[in-house]
Amino acid sequence: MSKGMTRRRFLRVAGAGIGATALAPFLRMAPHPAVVLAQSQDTLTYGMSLPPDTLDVTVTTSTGVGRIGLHVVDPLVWQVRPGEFAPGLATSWTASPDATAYTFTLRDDVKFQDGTPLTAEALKVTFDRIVDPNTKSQTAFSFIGPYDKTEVLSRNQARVRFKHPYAAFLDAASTPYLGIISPAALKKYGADFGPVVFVSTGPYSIQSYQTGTEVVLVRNINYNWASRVFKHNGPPYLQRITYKIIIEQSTRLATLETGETQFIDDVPTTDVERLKANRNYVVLEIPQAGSGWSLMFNQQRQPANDLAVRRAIQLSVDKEGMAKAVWNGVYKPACSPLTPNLFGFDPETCKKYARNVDQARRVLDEAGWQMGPDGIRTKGGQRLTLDFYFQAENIKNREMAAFVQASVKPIGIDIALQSRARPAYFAAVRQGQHHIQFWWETGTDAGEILRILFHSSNAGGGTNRNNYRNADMDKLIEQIEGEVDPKKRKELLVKAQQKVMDEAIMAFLVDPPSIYAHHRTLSGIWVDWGGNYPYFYDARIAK
Amino acid sequence: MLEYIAKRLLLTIPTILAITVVVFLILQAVPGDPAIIFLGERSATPERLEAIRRSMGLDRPLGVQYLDFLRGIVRGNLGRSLFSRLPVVSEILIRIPPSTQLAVAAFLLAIALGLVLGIVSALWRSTWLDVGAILFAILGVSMPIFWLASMLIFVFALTLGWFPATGMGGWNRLVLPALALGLISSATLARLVRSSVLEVLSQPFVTTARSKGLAEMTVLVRHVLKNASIPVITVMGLQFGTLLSGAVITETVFARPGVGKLLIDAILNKDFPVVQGVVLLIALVYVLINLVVDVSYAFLDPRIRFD
Repeated sequence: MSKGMTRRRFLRVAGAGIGATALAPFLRMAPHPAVVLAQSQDTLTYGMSLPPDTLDVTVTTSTGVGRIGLHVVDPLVWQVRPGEFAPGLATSWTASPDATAYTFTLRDDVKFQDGTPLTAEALKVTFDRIVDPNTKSQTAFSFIGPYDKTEVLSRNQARVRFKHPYAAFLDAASTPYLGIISPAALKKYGADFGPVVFVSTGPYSIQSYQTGTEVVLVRNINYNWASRVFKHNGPPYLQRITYKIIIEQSTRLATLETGETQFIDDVPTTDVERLKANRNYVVLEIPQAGSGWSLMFNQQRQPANDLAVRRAIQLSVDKEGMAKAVWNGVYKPACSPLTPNLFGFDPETCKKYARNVDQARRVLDEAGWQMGPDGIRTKGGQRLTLDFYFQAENIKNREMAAFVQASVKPIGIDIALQSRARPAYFAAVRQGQHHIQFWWETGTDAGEILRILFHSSNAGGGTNRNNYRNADMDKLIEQIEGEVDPKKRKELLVKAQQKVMDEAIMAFLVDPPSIYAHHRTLSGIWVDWGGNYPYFYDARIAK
Repeated sequence: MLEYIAKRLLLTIPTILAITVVVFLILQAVPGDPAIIFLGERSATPERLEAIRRSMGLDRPLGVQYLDFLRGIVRGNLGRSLFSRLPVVSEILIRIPPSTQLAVAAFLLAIALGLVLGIVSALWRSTWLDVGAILFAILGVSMPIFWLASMLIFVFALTLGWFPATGMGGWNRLVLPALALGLISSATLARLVRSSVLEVLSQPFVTTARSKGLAEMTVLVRHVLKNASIPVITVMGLQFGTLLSGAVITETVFARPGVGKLLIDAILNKDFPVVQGVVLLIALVYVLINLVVDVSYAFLDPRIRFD
């Protein structure tokens, strides 16, 4: 800027500059007619609650990426009903009697979206990559379990070996997370494979990805290897699926009603009744498979290590009340560590320790917890106070925690609500500073759920934040994992659930459904029985 | 003047260095290990946890981590996000246009509304116009933005159907977020403009100007507004920075990508490279805005000289 420039001139120039900067974005944003046309009935716009952390299903920790990714990959097998599998990429498979080796025969007519053929070698590359620590694989890493190695037997035959029995592997292989990736693309894109591009064999391929905004899928016109589970073969009907990331739930719902989206997930429970009453929308309410919302008690920390204290909480929490007050009656009271739709669920668990506040008081009295003058019990000078840690970001956490707090107050238990931001929460609970914390798990294999919650190998900072270490339980879980006979497997599962209830290792609160809503014009949606993955391969939008 | 600007620009280097050091140290002091946050609710053997830490580069001594970051800045490479694994530079670049669009639109709205309301209420002091404007300003300042944003969606998207509720793309998708963000800023500005104008109106030179027989409009524009503009411009500059980097709630409610949301998510994940990158950007923006504001003083008020 020269000294010769006058103040007035500066102001004029600056004003014009600001004006131009302000206008530029608007000019660029004028909608192009072609873009408007493309938004016709051939495109499904999906309002999604979960932002993707990557495009790579074999790396992600997000169920959202699984929901998108199921369209981009083909699972080895499809699980049509609990424990019942149909061919996917694999035309046939056999398991060794001890469930430590699985042999898959792959279809020989499948091509990756980059044109290279699917081979048994690709399966090996995919699985070896999942267990490589540098991949930092999350969900897939837990699904691949005690993976040892893959042997390539021929061009389209592979044997997957495990270090110990893993009867749940077919269940794992039916999720999107063990989808087979293109080794050629992996080599070509290097560090950008996953964050920027992802290439597999599914009916849709990724067209574009704008972090935090949207993922656009475009149909794979060469697709001709659909499983017989579905109603047609060949390319999918819908040309495009746009997953719009809309984290705020009221906004997500608003977009369904304005027509900006035709399908949304995680419908707020407050609006389920209203949507159901409207003829323009269809609400899908699918009981989630896994383990519902529950309380984990840290058994390494006084006084949560006292069975009487845990039993008293187990007997006094008003689950029906919580389901109604916090979840508008859409969630159901929970019974056991397993949801009722899982294979091996034991209905007896609903009755055995049903709510009984008087009994809860007696249990505490008998264990020597005396009621103090302030309404809180004490024993040997120790007040019955429990630290309840939860993540502050989720408002429902606070509501449920406050409900539990109010439920146990009358019997003389004081719960201190320790709300923490995510980093501080993980630091605290992994170190075992909590007496109580929440848990919620989705999964379709009962044995794996039990391992996550109760196996000693997951104690001490892992998923077993009960810090429960019990040799009998470990053995029971390992037996379940190695048992392929359904009848024996069921007996073992019942035994494990009874043990959990008898020792009051955790208290189970409510079982959530997955709640989706869509326009009535959209049809042909397939959702897995576990309720997690809406799949649009057969879907159409009526004109 | 040129010398002054050059000096100020040189000063930005130590300022920004200091900011990066402070942010780096604060991030270290906040509890939580990025590798553990990354694992979230999943289990890991100590060996695996260590391997993840190593692959995130967290096993390097703190000093080395910081120096590597500085070295990266010089090369224009801010590393990759620990979580999305995308290059930090592209994570930021992709969010600058939507953040800028929103900030500029909200800023223009805030200025237009703030100036008009402030001037009107100052000129017609103690009339119903003034009361109305003050009432609007109080409402605006005390209205929680998440509520205002949700109400805008309810009224203009759901009930009237005039604008879409979310997103990016056409100008019509910018209207509601800009309104939500701009209305609240305009309230702050209106109050400030009102008090500045009132103060100047009571100065003797205004009386002089009027007694010279100048038209009231000329008195207002030439003498009053120009003199009242210095504090207003200072606040406007800071407001623009806030609109650019602090629109997290607006961005979340309207499902728009933006720099503010990127930063908050990165802080919650302790995603060091992203936090450092975004803070670097925001610091630069503030330093530059302050410079522009300071330089503009000299043009608005001949009494201010930097030579």
